[in-house]
Amino acid sequence: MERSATPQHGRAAARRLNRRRFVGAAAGAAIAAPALLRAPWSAGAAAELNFTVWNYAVDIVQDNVNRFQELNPGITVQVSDFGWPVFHETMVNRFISKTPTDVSYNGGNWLNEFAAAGWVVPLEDHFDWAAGYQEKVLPFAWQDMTFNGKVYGLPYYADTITFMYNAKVLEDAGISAPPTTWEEVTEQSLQLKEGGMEHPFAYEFANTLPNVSEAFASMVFGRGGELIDEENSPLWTDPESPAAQQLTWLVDAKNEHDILAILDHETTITKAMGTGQHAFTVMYNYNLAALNNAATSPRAGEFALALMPGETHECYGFAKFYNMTQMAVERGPEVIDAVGSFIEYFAGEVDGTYPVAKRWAVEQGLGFGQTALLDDPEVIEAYSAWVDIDLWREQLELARARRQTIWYGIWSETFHPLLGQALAGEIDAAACLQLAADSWNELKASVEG
Amino acid sequence: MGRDGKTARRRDGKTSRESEVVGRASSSLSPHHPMTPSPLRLEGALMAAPVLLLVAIFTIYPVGRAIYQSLRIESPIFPARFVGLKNYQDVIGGLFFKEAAITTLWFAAITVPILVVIGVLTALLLNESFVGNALLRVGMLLPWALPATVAALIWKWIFLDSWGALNAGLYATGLIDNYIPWLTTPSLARMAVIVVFIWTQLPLVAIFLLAALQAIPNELYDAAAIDGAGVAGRFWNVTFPGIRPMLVIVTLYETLMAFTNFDIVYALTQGGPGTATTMVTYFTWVESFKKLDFGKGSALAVLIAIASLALILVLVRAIPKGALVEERT
Repeated sequence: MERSATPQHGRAAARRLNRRRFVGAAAGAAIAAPALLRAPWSAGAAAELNFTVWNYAVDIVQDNVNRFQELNPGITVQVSDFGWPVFHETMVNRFISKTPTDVSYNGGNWLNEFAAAGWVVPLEDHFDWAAGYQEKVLPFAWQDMTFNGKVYGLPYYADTITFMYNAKVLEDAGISAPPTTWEEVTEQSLQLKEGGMEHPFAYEFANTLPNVSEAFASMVFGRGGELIDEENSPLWTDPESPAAQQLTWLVDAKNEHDILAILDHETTITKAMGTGQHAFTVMYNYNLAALNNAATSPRAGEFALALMPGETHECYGFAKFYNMTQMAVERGPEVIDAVGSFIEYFAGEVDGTYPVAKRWAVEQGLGFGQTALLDDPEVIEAYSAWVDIDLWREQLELARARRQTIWYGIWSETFHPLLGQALAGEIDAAACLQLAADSWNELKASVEG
Repeated sequence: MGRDGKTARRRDGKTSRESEVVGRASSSLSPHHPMTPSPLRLEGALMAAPVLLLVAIFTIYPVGRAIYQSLRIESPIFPARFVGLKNYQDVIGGLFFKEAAITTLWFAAITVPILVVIGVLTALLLNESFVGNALLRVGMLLPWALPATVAALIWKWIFLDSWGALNAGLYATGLIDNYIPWLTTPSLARMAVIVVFIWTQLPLVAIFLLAALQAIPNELYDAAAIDGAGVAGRFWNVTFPGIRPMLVIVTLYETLMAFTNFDIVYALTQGGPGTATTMVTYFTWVESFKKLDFGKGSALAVLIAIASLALILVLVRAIPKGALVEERT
C-alpha cells in the first residue's frame, strides 16, 4: 500500500513540532534528565519523520518502525513505500516537489546523482559517530555508500549479485559440476536444451529494472573486468574487454543459441525457476533463500550457489542504505537528531548488536554490511538452511563495488533499451556497445564540461 | 419574424432579431466615451475572471512553462542554461526518437480502424433485441471502467512468457508445444499492446455509436425496407449517415488516445523489448523522469502537442462537409 506524504502533512507536522517545542521548553528539566539516561540511538526531542522505502517486505519495515517508536516515544515515523522499478523517478519527483522526505532508502547507483543534486547529505557532516562505522562495515558496502570521500548512509542491507543453479536438474542431466566459465554455461545449457529444456538460463531483464546494469557488472566482474576506467571512460569499446565479451555472450545466448528466457523481475524468476524449466540464473543473492524456502518454493533444496563464472570469479557487491535528506536538515536540529537516532537504530550498533540488519538476514536472507554479523550464530544457522556457508563466504570475499559516476543512473536508462534491442535482435552486440559508449561519453561531457 | 414564422436572416449573416438586440445593447453599453468601461462590461469581466484565472493557471501557465523549459537545459544534475532549439535538435536526431515516432504512427494507424470497425459491429449487435442484451451492455463497460494501468497489469498476467494464463491455456489444450514469449518478442509485444488498447477503448466507442444508432428514427428503416433496401442497403443509406457524425468524433478521439497512449505501455511492456513498444509519450516520460532531462522532455511534450494539433486540423479539414452536423430541414 502506498502512503505518500503531502505538503499539508508537512505543515501540520511543523505546527505540531512548534507546540511540542513549547511544551518541551516548559518541561525542560523533567525531560532532560531521562534523556541523558537513554541509549545513544534514542532521540532526545520530539519529531515526526517521513521515511520512504521500496516495497520489499513492507510489513517487516513497519514492524521495525513500530519497535523503534516504542523505544523513542518522541518520534513518530510515517512510512511511504513505492515499487522498486519506479523508485528512482518517484524519489526525483519527491525531491523536486519538496514532498516531505526525511530519511530514505538509497543505493550506490543513485547516490552520486542525488548527492550532486543536493537532495541527500553526508552522515558524517551531522553525526560524530558516522565515520566510526567504517571499521565495522564490509569495504564494498562502505564504498557504495560513499561519495566524494564522505559516507552518506549505513546499510539497510548489503549483498552480492551471484550465479545460482538447480543442482538436481544438472545431476539428472549427468552434469557433475556447475559451470565455472561462461563458455561452460553455454555448453551445459545446450546439453540441457538437447534434453528438452527450452531455455536453461533465466535472465532478469526489463527496461525499467534498475538492477539490469548491476547484474551485467557482476557478470563482467566474474571475468575480471570493469565497466569504466579511473578517468570514468568506458572500457567496453574494446571488443576484447570483459564487458564487451559478456554483452556479446548475452546476445549470442539469446539469438544464436536460444538458451535465454527473459523474465522481468526477480519474483517472476523465482516462480519460473520453481517450474523446473530453467537451470541457471544471476540475481541478488538473497533470492537463493526464496528459491530454497520450502514454504513458498516447490523445488526448495534443489538450488545452489556457484562462484560467478569467469576467470576471477569476482562479483558485484553493493549496499542499499538509509540516507538523510537535505529536507530533514532544513527542518532543524530536532529532526536531524531524530534521523540520526533512526539510522543508528536501523543500521547501527544497539547494545552490541545490529537488531534490524540481523532480522533481515535471519528472516529474509538479506545480506548485510555489518561485519559483526558474519560470525553471528543465529545468522549462520539461518543462512545454512539455504546456502553453502563456505562458498557464500568465498564469494563474499571476492565481491567488490564498482566505480560510480553522477550520470551512471541516467546512462543506464539508455543502456537498458539498447541491451533490449540487442537481445531482441534489432541491433547487434557491436552496435549496442558503440551506442552505449556514445551515450556515456555525451553524458560525461555534459557533466564534466 | 419572417413570414414563415422563422426569424429572417440578413445578408450580413445576422438575423433581424439579433441586430435589434445588438443595437439596443450597443446603445445602452456606450453612453459615454468608448474607452470608458461601462458597469455592465466591468460586471462581465468580473464574472469571467475566475474562469479566465483557472484557465491561465491550469492551461496557459503549464504550456508556457513547457515551452520555456524546452529551450533550456533543465536538470537537477546539469547546469541550467538557455540552449535555444538545441533540445529539439537533440531529441529529433537522438537515439530512439525516430523509432518512437514510427511506433506511435504505426500504433495509431492499426488500432483506430480496428476500433472503429469492431465498435460499429458491437454497437449494431447491442442495438438488436435479444436475451441478455442489458447484461452485455453493462458487462462490456467494465474494461473501460478499469484504469488503463490496471487493465494492462491484468493482461500482463495473461501474456507473461513463463507462467501467463494464455500460454498455460494454449499448452493445456495442446495447441502449443512450448511457451510463446509474448512480451519479449518485438512483434508479439506490439500485438499485445494493440490488444490491450483495443480492449480498454472498445466499450467507449461501442457505447457512443450505440447512442448514435438509437437516435436514428425507425421510420427511416421502415421507409428503406418499403423501398426494397436489403441489409446492406439499409446500413449504407440509413445507418451510416445516421452514425457518421459520431464516427468522426470517435475516430478523432481514438486517434488522439492512440497518440498519447502511455499507461498501457508503462504497465505492460515498459517500452520493450528493446524499444519495440516505446511510443513518443513513453519516450517523453523516460527523458524527463528517468534521465532527469526536463528540457528535452519538455521539447518532446511540445512536439507532441504540435503534432496533435496538426492532426486535429487535418482530420477536421478532411471531414466531409456536414458530417459533424446533422442537416435537417
